[in-house]
Amino acid sequence: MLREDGILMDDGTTARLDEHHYVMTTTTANAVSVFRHLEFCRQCLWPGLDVQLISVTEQWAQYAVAGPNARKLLQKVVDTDYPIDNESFPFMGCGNITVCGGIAGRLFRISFSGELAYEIAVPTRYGNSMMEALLQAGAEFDAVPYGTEALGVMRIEKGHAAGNELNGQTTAANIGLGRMVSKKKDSIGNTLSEREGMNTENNLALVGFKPVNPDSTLSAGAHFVSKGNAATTENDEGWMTSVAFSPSLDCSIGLGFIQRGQDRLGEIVDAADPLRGKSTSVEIVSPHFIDPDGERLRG
Amino acid sequence: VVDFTLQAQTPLRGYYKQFGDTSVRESSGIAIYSIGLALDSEPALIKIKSSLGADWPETGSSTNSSDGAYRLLGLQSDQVFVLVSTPSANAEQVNKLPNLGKSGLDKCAYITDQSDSWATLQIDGASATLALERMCPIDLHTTVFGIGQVTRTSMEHLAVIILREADNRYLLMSPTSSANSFQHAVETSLRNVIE
Repeated sequence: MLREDGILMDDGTTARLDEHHYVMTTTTANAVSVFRHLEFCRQCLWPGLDVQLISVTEQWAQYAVAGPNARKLLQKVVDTDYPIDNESFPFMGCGNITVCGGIAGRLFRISFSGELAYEIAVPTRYGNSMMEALLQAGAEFDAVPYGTEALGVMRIEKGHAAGNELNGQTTAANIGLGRMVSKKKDSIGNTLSEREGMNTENNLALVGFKPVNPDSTLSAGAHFVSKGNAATTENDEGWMTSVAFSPSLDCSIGLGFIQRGQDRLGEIVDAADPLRGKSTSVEIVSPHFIDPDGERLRG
Repeated sequence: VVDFTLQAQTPLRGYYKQFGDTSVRESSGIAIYSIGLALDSEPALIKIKSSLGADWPETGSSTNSSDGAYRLLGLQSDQVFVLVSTPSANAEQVNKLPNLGKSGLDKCAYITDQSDSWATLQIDGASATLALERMCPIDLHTTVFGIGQVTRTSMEHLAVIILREADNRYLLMSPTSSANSFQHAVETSLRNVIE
């Protein structure tokens, strides 16, 4: 979702449950501002649109079920009237279902972790019970609850932008989602995202970074300078937004913005971090460290 | 066949407590639906009158069906909450509003289940108003906030919908996820006025 000035406002998912019925998720931090923005659009920008909004945040208890056995686990709790094999319920599918013998629920095949993943929702009154059922059903697959720390690692491995990349300065083009802003029709932020200063040769692009020495630890907030240049403001080409230790790659990895990033894959630059008194040689790589073709989440 | 069954829990687990002359209890047997009006609101207003037997409430007021089954809370000009008392206080019994679907109201208005979104507390007794005056920023004097009036407000930084059911009886709705904190706030204020 863009602001009027073309800057990224928030990210989330939108599911179409019926011809005129959508469910939109936002980030937790921006839930109120997105709702307020939508009300502003509905009431002030387009009062002629026949549309109503209401928050259902409290209505549904929703769980991400992620990992290679996610489907097998869910097949033990989703009623068999609702087939969820890959053909019946493909990646990005959504729908009303029932679980555990007739309890109304919703299923979304979306993945922030990059794994084969679903999000399953039941009315809040069944939330505790549903979590117990999921863990019991998942026991044979060694399912465990995972938190935002693990999710943070997986989304960096997958190259998914989050709050660190949506800092109020960046555009859809900056994070590599420029194609999602259709030029065949208008949308909020479309026109002002075409401003000259936001479309220069030196545009920032979100890419991945790996330390040349795999034993080095990257740090968020480091600024990128080309090899041979001094770490000065004049030579600043971008910054590291998010870092994590990747257990899959057995090294520190990072996401960040650097000028002309997509054209510089393979180039070595310095990640200068004068605040912490260090500078690390890093290679510019694709932001999609793991499963770049999305085989896992479509599998 | 699925091997798991789910147990429903209300946000406050059927809470009930007496504080001197005043009681606080969770009203768990209430289904809550929002009704949003379409741009052409006339068909829905007629349908609400004919199928629910209640008028559309002005913002800040509430209306009741003649049989008492439905209570409409006027929360904004184009959106109301409908409270439906279910025969049992059992959370399992709170299900779909059969009349709304059958009447075709869902074809001309936007209906959303909100039953699990709100923890509902009824505070009833001589000290109810005294306790709420300490935590509710709106003026609760009966000449300002009379019986049947309703508003969105906040108490102890928590969002609340307050409905005055009688001089000293209120229905308070607060988001499910902070239900325990809200219950604690109401209890604390009540203790402070009766002790």
